[in-house]
Amino acid sequence: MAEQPKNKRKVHWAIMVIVYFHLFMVVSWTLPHPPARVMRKDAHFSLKDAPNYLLKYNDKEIKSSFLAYYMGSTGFWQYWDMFSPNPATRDSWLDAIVEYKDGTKMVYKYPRMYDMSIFEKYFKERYRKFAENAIPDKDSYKWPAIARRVAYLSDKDDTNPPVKVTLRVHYVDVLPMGQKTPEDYTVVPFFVYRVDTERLYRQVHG
Amino acid sequence: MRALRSFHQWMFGYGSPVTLGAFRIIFASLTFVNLAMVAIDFDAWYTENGFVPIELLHRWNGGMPRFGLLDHVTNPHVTAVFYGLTMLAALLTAVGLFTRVSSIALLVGIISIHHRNPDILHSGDTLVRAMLVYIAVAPSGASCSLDRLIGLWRGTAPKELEPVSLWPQRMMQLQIAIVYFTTVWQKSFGDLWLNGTATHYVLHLKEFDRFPIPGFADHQPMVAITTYGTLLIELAMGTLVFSKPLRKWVLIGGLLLHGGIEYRFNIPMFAFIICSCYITFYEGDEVAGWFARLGERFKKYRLKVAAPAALKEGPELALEAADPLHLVNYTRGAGDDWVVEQEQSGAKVSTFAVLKRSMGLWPLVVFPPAWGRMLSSSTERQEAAVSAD
Repeated sequence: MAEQPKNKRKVHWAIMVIVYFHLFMVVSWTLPHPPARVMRKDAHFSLKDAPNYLLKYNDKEIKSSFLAYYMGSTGFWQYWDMFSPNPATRDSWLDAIVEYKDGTKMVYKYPRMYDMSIFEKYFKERYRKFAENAIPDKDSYKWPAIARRVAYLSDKDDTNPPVKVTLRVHYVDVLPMGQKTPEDYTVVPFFVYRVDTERLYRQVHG
Repeated sequence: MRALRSFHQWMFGYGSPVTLGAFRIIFASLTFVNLAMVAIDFDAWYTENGFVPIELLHRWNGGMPRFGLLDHVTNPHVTAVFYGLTMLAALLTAVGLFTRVSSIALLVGIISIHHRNPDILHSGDTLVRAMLVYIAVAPSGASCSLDRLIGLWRGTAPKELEPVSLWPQRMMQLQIAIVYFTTVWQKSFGDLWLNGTATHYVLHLKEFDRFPIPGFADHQPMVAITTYGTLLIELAMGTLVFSKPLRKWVLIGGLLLHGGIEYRFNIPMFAFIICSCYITFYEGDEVAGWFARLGERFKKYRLKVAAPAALKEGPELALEAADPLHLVNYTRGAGDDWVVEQEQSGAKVSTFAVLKRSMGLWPLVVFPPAWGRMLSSSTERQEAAVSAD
């Protein structure tokens, strides 16, 4: 496994300490959160659940301690939760209704991967990722910025600027095996933004 | 205790730096491509008129101060220049020029760009950031780099590759194992993975669609096979990959898994980025051996080069080091000129054929006249001529 040193050199002990500390922090940071049952106050320790109690300890005593700054502040943070604990079971995409000053409406099509060519979607996938990280309610603080961007992109005429942007999500839930997943997507408006036309004008004209 | 001591020796042992050099080339090149792909929508992701103005970033950070040189930059030109410099650092890291400085600059650039807009990052990006830390602290330029060739040319680099401390390479290996092991652990909490139907759901996410798959892939037993197969391969990648007899088979499993994901799902660059890390599971001597064996396969292209009698030692060493496939056999001629001929046929060819066969010199193809100047400056005669001038 190991190649023996050919030149009697040794790594400085301080580097060893730093390396082991970094390794420890990476492992600690990437361990999953414990299941809810061991987080309950009335939970009783059992040998079968020992690894989960280890995760609980890790969550409470290490990841939540000042050591978190080591990973979070430096850019060492990392999560490896690809398609886990379960893969997404909801297929969703975004668009927006843009209403102009004269009352006309237009649908702004946020880039949707499914509508793109195989080549194009390879370069545009970040739009899907961003939508995934922007739609949930906990991310509602991002919605005004998204709506402002939509208004900015939809502003083609100074005399008839956008005045209202309604963000919508289209989704369908994938059904379990043996059941046919519906073709039609449910459309839900989730945020209405009244455009600050002066701010928009400054944005467009610098 | 013995196991711990053995781990410690493995972790901080010394060995050939070839793997670190080869990995640096591949990984920094992929990082460059990844940055270039995101740059297409620069306006959307990194400007105040985009989807993520700076004010959002501060919300995302919460109470956690995060390192980032773009954290307060609202001028898109400044951000663009920073982005461009980071891409340049990726290129320099890939070719191994000013490797220590360029790899640290690349790391700082990547962290800043990632912290500027974390909402568009996927696991491939996170892996880029994690691995660049090790590239930056490793002796990445000790092998397979322009730094080494320049050092040999000038006589400042050791003639033979010196063993280096391999702890950065070990950290790379452990990092990859951690990626797979923790993702399996996370999946063990998901009922869809445990009941063997997870891939059914993923196959129906149209936003991930890429190339089509046959209908039977969405029926049992295929769904169970792909679901449990994924878990099995990921678990092996997190554990068994360290066993030398099993390593090759585990890595082939990983390649098949990511090949399948790359074919079916639109997750740009992820498969390339993570699979490129597999090379770190091989020692430098093994990687050097691959190149030598690959060179054997191309032996019909081998050249015999009679170098000028006045060829200096440094350039000779550099030229030899630039040819990991061993396709060019240098000998010291009697005359003043470079004589290049094909080893098998004896046919004379131009010196440009040497450039084509010497992988380490490929960066010169961006400016071919430099090759001619290099050759002419490699002899004592030229040096004397220059001093006379």
